[in-house]
Amino acid sequence: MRTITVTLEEKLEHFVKQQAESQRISPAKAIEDMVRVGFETRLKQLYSRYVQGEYSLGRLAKELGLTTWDVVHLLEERGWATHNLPTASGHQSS
Amino acid sequence: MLKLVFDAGPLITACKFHAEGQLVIDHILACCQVVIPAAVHKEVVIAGARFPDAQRAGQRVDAGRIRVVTPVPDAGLTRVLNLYGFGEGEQEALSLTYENAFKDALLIVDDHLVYLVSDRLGVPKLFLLDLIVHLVRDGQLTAALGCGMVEAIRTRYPEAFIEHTLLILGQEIS
Repeated sequence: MRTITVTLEEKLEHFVKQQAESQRISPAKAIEDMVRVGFETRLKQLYSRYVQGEYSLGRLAKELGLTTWDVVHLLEERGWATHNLPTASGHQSS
Repeated sequence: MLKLVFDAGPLITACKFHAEGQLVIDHILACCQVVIPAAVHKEVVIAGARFPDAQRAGQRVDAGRIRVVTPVPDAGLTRVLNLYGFGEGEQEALSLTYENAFKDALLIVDDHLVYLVSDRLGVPKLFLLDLIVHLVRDGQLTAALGCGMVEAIRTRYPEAFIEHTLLILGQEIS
């Protein structure tokens, strides 16, 4: 894990402080949690485009900044289908 | 010997699952010449530090059983492929099978969009499932082993694709 420095505008800084205090965690941990939520949200958005055949597996990986191997393992860990082929029901199955 | 260019998806599948005590990729390597694009190999090296299936692919490259090739740049084709926003590995896999040197090769691909675009480009391609059928029909694999390989990789495909493949292989047995 790497440590990075981020600059926040004032209202976001207040928000992070409030979240950290209410959850009794450090500001760094509060930011880490928010980035994780952001990642999961973005993953769901991109995955939706992938299962609809709009994105390829390589595009999905590229958009997430990961390798295709990372993405396949990531989807498997979540119990999501790793393919984007059409199914009989029109929905993805795992 | 059948010449195959593997896209990352089927390579990952073939390096993860076993049938009759061997990895699916090893059954294929026993009867086919397998090539991967340099961009797919680059990912194999990066992911090899984390995932056993990527390590297995890397070992087969290091042993010279899987060949790594960098495609010759083709500005016209690149312009077309950029329209679809493919990953680098997919771009190179399509570029390789479009090259004259690989005109006799089959692209092995399991991605919906890559499959459709390879069709539009006139690139010969097969799903990994259909490669197994092809090798059974060609006498390179027994139908029983083919069925075992399809069962092993079941989780990576929609149910209809798996059941259809098993029906085809069942006809080969009877």
